[in-house]
Amino acid sequence: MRVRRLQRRDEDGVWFDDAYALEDARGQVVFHYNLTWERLGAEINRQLLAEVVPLDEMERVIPASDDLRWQEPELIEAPDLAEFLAALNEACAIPKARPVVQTLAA
Amino acid sequence: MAKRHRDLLAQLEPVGLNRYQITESDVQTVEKYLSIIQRGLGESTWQELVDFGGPYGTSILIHEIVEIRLLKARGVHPLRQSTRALRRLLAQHVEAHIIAIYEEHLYLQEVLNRLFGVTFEVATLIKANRGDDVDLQLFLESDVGVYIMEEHRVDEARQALARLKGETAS
Repeated sequence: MRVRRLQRRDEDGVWFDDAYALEDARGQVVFHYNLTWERLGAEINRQLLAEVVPLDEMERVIPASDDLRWQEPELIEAPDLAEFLAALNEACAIPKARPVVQTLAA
Repeated sequence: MAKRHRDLLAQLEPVGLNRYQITESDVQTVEKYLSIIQRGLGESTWQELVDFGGPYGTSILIHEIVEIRLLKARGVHPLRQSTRALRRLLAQHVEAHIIAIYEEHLYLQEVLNRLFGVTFEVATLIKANRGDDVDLQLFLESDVGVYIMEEHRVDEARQALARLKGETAS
């Protein structure tokens, strides 16, 4: 699979991994995002489902700007894929589902 | 208080605003919150809220204010955080987002019934209202309640939401 990281620039000028686009073997790209993207992240995936956009052309969907930049695609293959994506999810602060009642009681 | 916040409040749906006791100060807080979390993204949820107004804009506002209130109740003061810090805090307190999804769609369920006489399950509305299944998955995998997904009614729910947004006449 191929991955492209989307980096965002913080108020202090530091660039950080914020989201990524993942291309499967059929060429379908899915955008993976954290909760700051809110409804915008879901709209990007709606767009990616409606129109086939190659990973190399993600700038068409999310243009680069002073505060956003796409990194070059990376090719990641099994058996490293799961570990790579877990680390990327952690870096991008992409949450996992979790029981609400237990969390509120903590 | 800025006149634009007062003007926006006047364009939103009063029953929803009353139910969640949303004030001008809350509207100002939501604008600031979204400006922090969506800094540099170009498009913004705030602009969507303003552009839609009415009941649909109110549903977006309810989501944000519920999320902010829950974060504050957990000791997180979102307006004092950087974008980078806040995205990590949001992931740590994902329950705030999940309950905000629930309240947003509970309101949509009520307002669709009140205005158009149609009723959909909350899970059906979440699926119809989002461009992907990320929020639906977070919601279904939480234990907020037991939900019924009406797969055969998702398109109907999408049409009802489009009518609520003013995109279609009926």
